[in-house]
Amino acid sequence: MSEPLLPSDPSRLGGYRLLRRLGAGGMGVVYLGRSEDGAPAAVKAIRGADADDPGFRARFTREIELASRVDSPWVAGLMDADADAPTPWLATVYVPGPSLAEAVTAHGPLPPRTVRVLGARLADALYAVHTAGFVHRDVKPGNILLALDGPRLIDFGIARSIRGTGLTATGLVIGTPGFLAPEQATGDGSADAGDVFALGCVLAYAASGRPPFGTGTADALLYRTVHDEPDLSGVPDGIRERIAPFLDKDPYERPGTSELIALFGEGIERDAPQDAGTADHWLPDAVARTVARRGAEGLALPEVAPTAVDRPVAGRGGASPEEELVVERDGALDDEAAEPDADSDSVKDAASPPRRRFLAAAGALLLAAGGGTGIALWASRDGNDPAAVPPPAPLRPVYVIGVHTTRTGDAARLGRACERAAHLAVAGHNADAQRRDLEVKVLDDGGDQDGAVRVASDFVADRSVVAVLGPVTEIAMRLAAPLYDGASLTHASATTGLSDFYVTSRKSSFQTMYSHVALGSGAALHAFTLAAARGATATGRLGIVLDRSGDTAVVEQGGSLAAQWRNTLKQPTAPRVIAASAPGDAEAAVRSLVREGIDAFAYMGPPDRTARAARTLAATGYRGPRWMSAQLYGSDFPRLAGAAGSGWYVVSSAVDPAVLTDARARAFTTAWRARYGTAPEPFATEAYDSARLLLTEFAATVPAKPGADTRPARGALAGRMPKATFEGLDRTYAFGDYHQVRVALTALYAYEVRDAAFRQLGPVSPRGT
Amino acid sequence: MATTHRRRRVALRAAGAAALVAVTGCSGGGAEAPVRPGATTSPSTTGSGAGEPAGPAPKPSSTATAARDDQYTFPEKALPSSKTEALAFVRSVTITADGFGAGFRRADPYEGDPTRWSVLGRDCLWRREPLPPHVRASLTREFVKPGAGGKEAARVKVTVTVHESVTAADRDMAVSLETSMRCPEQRLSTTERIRKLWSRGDSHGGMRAAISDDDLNETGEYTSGNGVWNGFSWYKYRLGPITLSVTARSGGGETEAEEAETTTGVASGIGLVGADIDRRGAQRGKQLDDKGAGDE
Repeated sequence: MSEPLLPSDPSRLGGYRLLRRLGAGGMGVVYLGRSEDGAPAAVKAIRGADADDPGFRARFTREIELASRVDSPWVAGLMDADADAPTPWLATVYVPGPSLAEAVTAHGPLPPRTVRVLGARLADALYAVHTAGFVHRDVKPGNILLALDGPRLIDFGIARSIRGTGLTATGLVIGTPGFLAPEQATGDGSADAGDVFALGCVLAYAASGRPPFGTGTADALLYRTVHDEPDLSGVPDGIRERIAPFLDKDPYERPGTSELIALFGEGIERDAPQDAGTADHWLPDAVARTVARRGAEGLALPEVAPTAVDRPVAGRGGASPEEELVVERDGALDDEAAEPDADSDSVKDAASPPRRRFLAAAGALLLAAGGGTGIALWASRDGNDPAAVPPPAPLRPVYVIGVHTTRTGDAARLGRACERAAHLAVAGHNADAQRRDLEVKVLDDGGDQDGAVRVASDFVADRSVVAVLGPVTEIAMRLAAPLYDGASLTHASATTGLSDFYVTSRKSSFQTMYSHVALGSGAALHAFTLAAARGATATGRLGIVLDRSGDTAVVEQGGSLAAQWRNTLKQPTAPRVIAASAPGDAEAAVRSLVREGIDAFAYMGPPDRTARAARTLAATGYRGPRWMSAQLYGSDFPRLAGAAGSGWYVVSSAVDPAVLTDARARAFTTAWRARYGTAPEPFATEAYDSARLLLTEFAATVPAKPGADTRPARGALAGRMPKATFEGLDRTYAFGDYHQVRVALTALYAYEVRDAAFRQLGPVSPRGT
Repeated sequence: MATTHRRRRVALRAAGAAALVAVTGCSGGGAEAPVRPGATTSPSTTGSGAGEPAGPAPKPSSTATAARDDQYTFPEKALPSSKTEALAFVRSVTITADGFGAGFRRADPYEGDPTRWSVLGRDCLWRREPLPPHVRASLTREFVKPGAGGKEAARVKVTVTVHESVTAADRDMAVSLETSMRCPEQRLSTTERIRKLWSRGDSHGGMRAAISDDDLNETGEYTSGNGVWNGFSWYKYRLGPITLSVTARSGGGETEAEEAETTTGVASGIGLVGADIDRRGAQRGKQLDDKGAGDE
């Protein structure tokens, strides 16, 4: 689909960095570029030959001006252009989806409903193009890209018409044989009616899988276009009669573009594309998945050539997320017995065959009990196309909350807390018999990069998913956020704290955990509070070890702690940075710090390496205050460090709800215990609040009319979130301009490791201070 | 010609890195407001294209969100084995003055003493000291863009260092990150100082747009001693056992756009050097493989 840049390609055009070649043709080369603020764009460089012609530049300038007036959600709009550049160029919105040609090649003819929507929207697009004064001249399946919310007509004829004036004079044909009107084929002109003819060919192709004048050489196609009747035999009834008038040999007999809209537009609203979540499921599921996946590749990995045709997930050695896909319907708390699969813990081994059988059985039980959509299990290793087993249609809308989880490594404990929290929040909602309309869908990204992209793509493609809790890990957040953003699917992570997600995801991504910068400051504040409590006037000298195996998060948090210590507390610091590949260096660093003399100590690194440092520190006889990185709250550290871990502090924005005394918090803890047989784990409370925050804001977007068949637009939730104020169990959640969660000092909690467990000491800053 | 074109592509990746520096630079400030990426538009031309030798296959460009196995690197097995060979290697690394932007030329003196390198003392003063045993060679070259209209010259110093192993180079990166934490204000000479240093380290595996195995970026302010503080940047990349360090200081008096252009230019220049080291590493690795195969 796209190719690397060639040696002859420029690296930039205007403000756009060029990343790949999307295509090349008579007009010049089209590149995938990125604007300075990161927005992807299709940047077309007009071939050099015209650049010397001042008349060309003047016409190009005028066309750019006209193009900015093209007003249709179904046209990939103009972003920027420069007629005076050495190489004139123009940039339009980049649509990462597959073209109609690719989709039909891969999935065959589209169903009649999709063709009708396609016809209505392309008619709208053509109408806008013609109204602005353009003739497209090259409407063909390759120039129609598919997005989840509708098609996009690309390459709407700027510059082509300018050149066209000159070229038609020489008798050359502009356009693509097979989709070219007979009058154009004979060089007789190319007005709006030519585009109408081409649209008819496109729709016939979409509906039947083959162009109405067949395939073959250009000469043969042109001949057949002029002399033969179109072959519409494969086009279903109901579509065929609408298309036929488009294909009249006489341009004056064809409908005008405004009539086209009437022909196809009945009952189809002109939705704004940003309403990516509108209920109308215009694409068949298999195509929607290709679109979502292509979007994922196009947005996240512009330098990786997207695959031409989406395949069902190939059987790899390991489990793919599809195999682990579990849709569970959550019942009310008192429905526990009827929910064989309610405990998400038992879902861990979803990939193993016995587990799959169990899930299938559980699904059957649920379906038998009339449990709505029940369980859909995609056993793609067996080569089953997930689309082949559609879930039963729900009687009324069922909304799904996705959990983008991780069940691998240290983060698995966080993932489990998020899954449980989502189930509990949804169960609480469904406890009201009047509104049993929520489900939880859990997808595991396996803790790796590809998994994060796959999970986000699948949630985006599943139109029943209205919001996502997660991802759990920093890397997944980095990779998934732009994909969710691209589809206006709102997600909130309760366990990540790097703030740069906003750079690539400005609408739909939120974090409820405090940033690493804030958490580092929190540790400094805790040190100050401790010193004040024992009557000391200063915190003294901080020995701090940054272990780079903790990567960027550790550097940010440790850097923040050290900077606050130095600049705010005005106390000395002694930093040591440990190379990721030389873990043994930590021991010497710890010993040398103690030898130099320190009053406080911090180790910022992963649990195992922090535990090792704790043992070294204990061996030196140091007994002063000591902190680990915030990510370690709830980790295996107390067990790994043993006795040496005793007395270590951690400052986290996660609360231990056992210390919360109000009725709501007690009810939460009781419900959690009843459902999971344990007290809420670290991050459970924040994950639960995050899920409820999403649900509450989502509920406000649902139309008031009960049983309405329309789903709220996905983008509506993202629009509400930045303004949302939500009363959580221990704090008020609200977001800043960059979607950073507002920090409450009373929600930065200090913990101490005692008796091999994290014991909460309370907020680092007493309430009211 | 091929070199020129390759450079452009390489510059693209480096410019991406520069943009990221600008974007992420804010998160340390506490306000967490993402700022405009290193905005600049360099004039571009369309190459005549066809039929030119393509040179080595270009690596895909890096973006803010994606970087998978396309980083600049250097295989440990290709490491020059003796100090003499290592010095010859660092001298062979191509650094072109105009790679850092129009107007840059070699400074006089151009090369530093290859038997010494810079070390930040406990007193936060940089000194030139003899190379330690774990460093096989280190060579600093300096470029200058003369100031116009009373401005000070902009200067770029490039240091390529061959360490004895990947771990030794990794440790050197750790030391570099440590220096800014240890000495937020540093003296370069009796009069020159840098201050307000803020640094960030991103390993390639962290998916945060590292263009080499490990990227460090540090920014702050520099004064020659006349009381005027201008922009200062330090980029340090690790390619396997090799480190590439570049300091850049602005001549001052630039508009925001000019400063951004300088930043992007320098970042592009580093990308070029990184690409050259990467290419040489791949060549050496291949030669070793071929030789190894021939011996059997």
